[in-house]
Amino acid sequence: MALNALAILMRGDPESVGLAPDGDRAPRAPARAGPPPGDWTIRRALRSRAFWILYGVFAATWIPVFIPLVHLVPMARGSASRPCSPRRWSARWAPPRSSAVW
Amino acid sequence: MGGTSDHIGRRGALAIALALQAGAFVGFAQAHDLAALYASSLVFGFSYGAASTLFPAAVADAFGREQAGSLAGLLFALAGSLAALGPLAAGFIYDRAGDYRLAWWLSAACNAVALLLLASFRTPVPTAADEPAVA
Repeated sequence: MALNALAILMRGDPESVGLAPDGDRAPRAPARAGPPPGDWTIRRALRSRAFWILYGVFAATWIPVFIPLVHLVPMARGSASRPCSPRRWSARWAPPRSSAVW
Repeated sequence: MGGTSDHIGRRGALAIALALQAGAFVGFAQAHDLAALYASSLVFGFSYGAASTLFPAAVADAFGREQAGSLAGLLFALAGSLAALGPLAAGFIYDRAGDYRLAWWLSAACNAVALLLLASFRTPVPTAADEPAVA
């Protein structure tokens, strides 16, 4: 809730406070309706080939990106006897009976 | 990598990050001791951090800053959700093969595909057909 309240104070762009990116001084942009030249609308971007190529790059990059986060520790332990398939996760992460203190 | 991308462009910096990530996956596949795993992990962490921050910047460069937040969010929502498949597939491969080597090699192959796609990426130029109609 605090973060949501703080979001009210956030600015959408540095130009709205008379700055350029990275805090550089910049002349205030004149009032305008619609995106500035060179900016795309979402609809136009989604119709472009470039967006879907970026989507492919991002997807191919992100599919394996969490494998190390999940599997590297068991691998580092040299745990050939510690399989990590989802079928066995429940058994693997269940607390041992002896450690359950209620 | 942010400073590097300012000098050589987002595409070049992203290519470096993806190549490093592929190298880290190959390192995981070839690691036989903990030191090699640590070294590959360092490379992976660096490349992961670089790629995750360069993508929104690349979107902003390609489509302008006005909608960059929405478009980057869309990209992360659409493609990022596929990231859940990787660990599941790696677990499946481990169960079948008995080790992670194939999973790491396939991960490196994914990065190679990403690099190929990135090579075909060009900053889009709006055409007359893209311009909104004027009333």
